[in-house]
Amino acid sequence: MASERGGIYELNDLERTLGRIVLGYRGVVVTWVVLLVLVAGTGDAADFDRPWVPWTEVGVIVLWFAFTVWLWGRKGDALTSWWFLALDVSVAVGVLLASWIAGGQNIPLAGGYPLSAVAMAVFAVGGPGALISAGFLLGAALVRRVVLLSDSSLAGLISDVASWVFPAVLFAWATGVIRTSDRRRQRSEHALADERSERVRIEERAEVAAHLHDSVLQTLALIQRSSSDSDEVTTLARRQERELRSWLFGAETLGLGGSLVSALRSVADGVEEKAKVKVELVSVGDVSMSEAVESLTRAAREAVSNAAQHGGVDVVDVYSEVDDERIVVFVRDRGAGFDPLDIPPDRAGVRESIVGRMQRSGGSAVIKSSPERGTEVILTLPVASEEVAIK
Amino acid sequence: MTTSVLIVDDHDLFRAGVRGTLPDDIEVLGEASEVAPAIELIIERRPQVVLLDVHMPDGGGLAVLSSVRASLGDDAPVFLALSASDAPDDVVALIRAGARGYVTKTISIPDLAAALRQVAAGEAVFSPRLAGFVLDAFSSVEIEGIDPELDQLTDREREVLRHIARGYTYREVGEELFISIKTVESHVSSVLRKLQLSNRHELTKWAHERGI
Repeated sequence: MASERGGIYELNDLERTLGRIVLGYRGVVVTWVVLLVLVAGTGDAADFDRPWVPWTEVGVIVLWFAFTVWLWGRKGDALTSWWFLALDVSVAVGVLLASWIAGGQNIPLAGGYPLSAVAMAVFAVGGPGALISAGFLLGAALVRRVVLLSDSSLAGLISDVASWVFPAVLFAWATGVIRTSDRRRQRSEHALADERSERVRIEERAEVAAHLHDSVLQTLALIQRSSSDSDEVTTLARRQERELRSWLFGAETLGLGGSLVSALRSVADGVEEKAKVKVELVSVGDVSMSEAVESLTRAAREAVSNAAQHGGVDVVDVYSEVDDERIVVFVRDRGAGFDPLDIPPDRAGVRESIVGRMQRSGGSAVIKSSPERGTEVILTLPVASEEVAIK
Repeated sequence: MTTSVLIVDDHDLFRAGVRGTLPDDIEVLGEASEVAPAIELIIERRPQVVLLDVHMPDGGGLAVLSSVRASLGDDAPVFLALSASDAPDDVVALIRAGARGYVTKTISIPDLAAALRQVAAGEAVFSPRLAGFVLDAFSSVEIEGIDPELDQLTDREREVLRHIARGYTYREVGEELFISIKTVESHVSSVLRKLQLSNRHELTKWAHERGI
């Protein structure tokens, strides 16, 4: 796409800006030369042997400038080619020597134009270009000083060298610094973008792992426990297959319903059916479903399944409460209890499916457990703007 | 000391199951499956506690409770409401009409026995579900005509109810909040009184719909 548009659009932001600066400078010095010719190149004071020369000079640089601008708009990369640079330097040398060619002694007809060729070379090919074009112009300037003005004093020579080499070096150095820092910035932006997409990938993976843990691993555990009952195993396997299929291929159809309470109701029903315990659900207030609320529901389901499986109890109490600021779900059993700090690393349930999941959704999970009092999991989520309270 | 109970429920299997498994200190004086016979039987046998199903044909538990209280006044037994389903308006209507507590049919037999003893002793019995209903009824903010004595729960009462809703027993609530079990009971009784006397919009709406 970009190549079809051509011209300056092939360049990046920085190069476009630098090019505009160089062309702007060129425009200023062209105007300067035109004014010089109007003021000094005409009238009584102008005593040129060849009066057509100043006018030709103006014509050439105005046309050349127009051509350069056109080229800039149509084929930006042409400005960096050697043929363009050679022509540009030739024009600048011509301008520098214009008053000599015209035979008008020391009447200045160059203005700042020759220096703009150095700037153009820096823009086009960087440091080497600057030195080559500055070399040509310095040569022309020295020829003018020595031959035309018969001035071969050391001071004059030094002055010429200084006034061509210094700007060339300065331009080249400044542009080089700007370009280097721009490249560094771009590199770090790319690195940042890479890092971000890597993080998204990791989070997605954790989400998938948590889901598989909740569904497939839980079912496998149930199958192991009831391996002597082939009907039960078949039922569990079939249900798991259905659930996994719909998760993989369909819209997320875990039957979570349209609100927190209906989702928790499905969770309670599901666990009651699977694990043969009573889930006592009590709710105060309700909110509409959102991604975060769905994660909360999944964490709650994990907590309820854990209580049903490991607690060794008949009843699991679930209490959900929604107020203006937060959504809290309590999952409690009076079972065996465990030490939350003592979870084996391969048991992803509590760590990933509950704590990690709540943290990724911007909420938190607290687990209180002791052998005497059983276990209570407290899931808290701040209410987000997209969630609508249901009265 | 035994507690005498009469069971009113239209579900035969449930009645039989409860009657057969209650511990010895709970004496079942009789059972009824319909509203009219239930009222007669209660007035005749005078149990300490009536275990009353919320949902029955011909007016449900509310009809039984209202008639009995109308006939016996202060001598009426205490009522413990019981239901399988979740309609909060029915349950709250029954509480407002004078029931001293509410349990769900999934309650275990030891817990049911404990609840029967508790209401017989004059305590209120809040299941997690009833605590949830009450919190819900008192949660929506109403500016106008609020009687803070009756229409609002104190922070402490609210905290007690929240723990009950989470599945804590009175004893556990006391341990968690560092208060005695007696204090928990008095908070719960106070909530029950507010529930019966408050004129809050939600509560009066329920009451109106139920013809109280």
